[in-house]
Amino acid sequence: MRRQIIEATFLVLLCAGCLPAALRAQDRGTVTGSVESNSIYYLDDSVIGTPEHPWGSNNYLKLDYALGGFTAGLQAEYYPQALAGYPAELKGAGLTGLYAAWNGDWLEATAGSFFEQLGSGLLLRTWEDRELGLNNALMGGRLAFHTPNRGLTFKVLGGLPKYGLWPRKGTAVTGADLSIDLLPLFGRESGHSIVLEGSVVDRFTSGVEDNIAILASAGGFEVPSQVLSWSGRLQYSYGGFSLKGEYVGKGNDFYTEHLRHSKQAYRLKGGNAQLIELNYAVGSFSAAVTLRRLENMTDRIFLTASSPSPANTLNYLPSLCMQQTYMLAGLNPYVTYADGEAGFQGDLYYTFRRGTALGGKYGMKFHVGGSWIEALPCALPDRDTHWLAYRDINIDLERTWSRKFKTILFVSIQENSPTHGNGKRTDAQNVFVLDALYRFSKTVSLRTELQYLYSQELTRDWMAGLVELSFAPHWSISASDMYNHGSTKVHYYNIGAAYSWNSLNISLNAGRTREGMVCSGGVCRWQPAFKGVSLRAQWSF
Amino acid sequence: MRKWFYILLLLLPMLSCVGQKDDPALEVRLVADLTALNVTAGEQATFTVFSGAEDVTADAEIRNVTDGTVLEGNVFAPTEEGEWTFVASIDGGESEPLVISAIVIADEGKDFYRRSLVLDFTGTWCVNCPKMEAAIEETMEVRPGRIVPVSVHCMSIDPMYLKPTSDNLAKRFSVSAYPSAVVDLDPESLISESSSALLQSHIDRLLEARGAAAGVRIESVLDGDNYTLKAEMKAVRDGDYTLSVLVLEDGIVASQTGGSKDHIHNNVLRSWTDSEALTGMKEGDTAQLELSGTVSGSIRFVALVCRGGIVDNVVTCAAGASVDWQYEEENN
Repeated sequence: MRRQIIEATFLVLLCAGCLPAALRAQDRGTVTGSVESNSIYYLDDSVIGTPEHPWGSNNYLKLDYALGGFTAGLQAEYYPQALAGYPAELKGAGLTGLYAAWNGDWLEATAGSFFEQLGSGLLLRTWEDRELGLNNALMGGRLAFHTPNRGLTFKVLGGLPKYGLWPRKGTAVTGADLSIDLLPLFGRESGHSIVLEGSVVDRFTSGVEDNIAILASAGGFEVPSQVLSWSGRLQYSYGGFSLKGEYVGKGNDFYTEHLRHSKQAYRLKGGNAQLIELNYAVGSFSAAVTLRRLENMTDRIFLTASSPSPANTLNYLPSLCMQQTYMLAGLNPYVTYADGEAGFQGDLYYTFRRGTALGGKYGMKFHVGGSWIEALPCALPDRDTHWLAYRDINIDLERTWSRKFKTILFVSIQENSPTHGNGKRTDAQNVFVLDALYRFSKTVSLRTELQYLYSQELTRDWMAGLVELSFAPHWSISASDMYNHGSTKVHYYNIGAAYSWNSLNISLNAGRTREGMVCSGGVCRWQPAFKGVSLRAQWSF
Repeated sequence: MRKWFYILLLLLPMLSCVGQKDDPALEVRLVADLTALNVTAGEQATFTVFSGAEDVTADAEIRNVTDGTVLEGNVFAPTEEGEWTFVASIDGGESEPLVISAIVIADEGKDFYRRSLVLDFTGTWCVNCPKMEAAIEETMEVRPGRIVPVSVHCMSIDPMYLKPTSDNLAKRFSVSAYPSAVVDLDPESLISESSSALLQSHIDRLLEARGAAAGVRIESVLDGDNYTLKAEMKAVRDGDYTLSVLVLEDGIVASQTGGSKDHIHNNVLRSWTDSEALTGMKEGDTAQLELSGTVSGSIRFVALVCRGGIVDNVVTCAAGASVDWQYEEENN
């Protein structure tokens, strides 16, 4: 069986590789696609633990065909054994995407699987994120009508959300969206732009799992088969200023209520969310502020009393804070508390121009940002009081000293409540990073990172370092280590090499990975610790 | 200007902050080593009263709210079946009510007395884990004498993490969220919602599906700090069995996220020993497992019998105590 799968895969790849050239030669459209394979062989490690299976492998094949306004494509995924930490429902092989679409002057029509985002995604978002093992594409159809100048767009959609490798049969999502651009009312020359939008989404589920029925019965209610949600949105811009406002209302849904003395109760509760985004940019200066409030905004593909999968979602609720990229800064990320939170995030950017006192010969970029989030009292067991859920301040300074040498100084001060603000206790971590890049020649460069995390809580102090040597345009090698010298005395070391040739990327890494939350785009999943050798290959054509 | 800017940069590390601590918990808490007592075995509940982290049992008043009396000392030894609510008070502060229940278990009969095992995957770092603890306690109150809880502490940052047993159990049941609970080691009963109603539904389902249970008993002897233990099982159905002995520890005080700084952790799994696979056992066959070790802390033993990997019966007793074959009361 395994041999047949390998042969079939090889045949598909061979055809996929030859098709583009053949079709281009005959002017019968274009075929594009990609193949990606991520595999890890896990090694025994008595210090950090060993995953259950000795190896894991996630594999993806994507093919798209385009001819004029017509497109069609498919995506196949194969998980002989999913990588540790990926959702358990990813098992075996499946055709996870299959679509045909027409994009005309006034009509866009899609049949099959498609991704969709209404507004900011608070109401509905289907997307793919391979870092999270998430792909909740809808399998159904979508029609979008728009006027020739795109001043008015109306969309209707419906389908079964994908969960695991196949569409989830018990759940159907339908929706409609209307967008009206009021530019003609003001005239293009006025500089004002206003867009009004509104959407409605219905989630229908046929039946619930026994565990949920028991919980509902204990709460004295029936789980509704339909949950109707809607949103109203406004976009305004003038010159360098822009404003986006969104209100989302969600119908009664299954809700876990947190009570005193660690008790839980189950009932029906509606949800709502408000979002305001302000942006301003002038010359070298720009600023962005986001304010967001969520109340019971979890929207699952299906209700379950078992371990929740990050892929069991129909909307997008990213953490309202900076998405960290440095190793230590992302050690204990904040995860959105969808039951109820309110907060803001603000960022200021300024570029000191070349030739100024601070800009020097090559200029300097400065950024300061922060966020502050508190849980809503209605989402906490103690309704009378609430404390800080999360706050951070991030400062980074990018300075180019010469044509060969550039540095980034980054400071991140984070304070995270382990109880989402249901207590005074917070865990603080202060991260300092010096990132330096030195170019020896046009092709050879060396990047180093020195990081330190100071904390009196959790696993206390950490230090980390990274050395990356690049031989453009093909090779790079790297070595890194994270060391928790404040508590566990464990090293998380890694060495790696990467090779690129045209659209082929291959990387080989070996080392330890720490247990913790892995976040991508502000959405997170749990990653168990492991030691292993990983091979990632990606080819686009 | 440039000079001041770089001075400002050097001062950046001064911005670093430390987390805030919870206010010292001065609430009065009443805890008992056993909340579901077996009258036949002469079991009794020993109370401890805390004011914050301090043991104030000697100065506290423990009141039996059910019959309106004040307990003399801190030990409650019922002589009949029933349910009693206790409250502790000191310096004007009063604890939450604590329910103690007692049942009579027959020492002879037809069917062996059946208990259910609830495995609680938990962690001191886990904000929602006290909720599963509360749900299990509620289940024990609803079904006195029928539940044996075992807390499996996971993740290396937990001081009660049992390596590698915790990891192996979490892998066996594909636990990927905390808290999670499993009834009678049945993978189909894995739940992450902390609900007593849900636990009870799985307990009922397994009781109905599996019928009469195997018998299980423990004899333990203390010699100074050393213990020796003999667990024995008796099959009532033909099948493949395993007999296991678990060592649990009660009364460990450790900070609990989502709980308090001085949370009391009970039923903490300290070791898990399996017999060899007891294949092809026939009705009436018996098997034994012996264990010895050193007493550390307030330990307790659990003997559990599995048939086809699912718990058939389970019993628990304090170190140095013994529990003989126990039977269901026969309905006339």
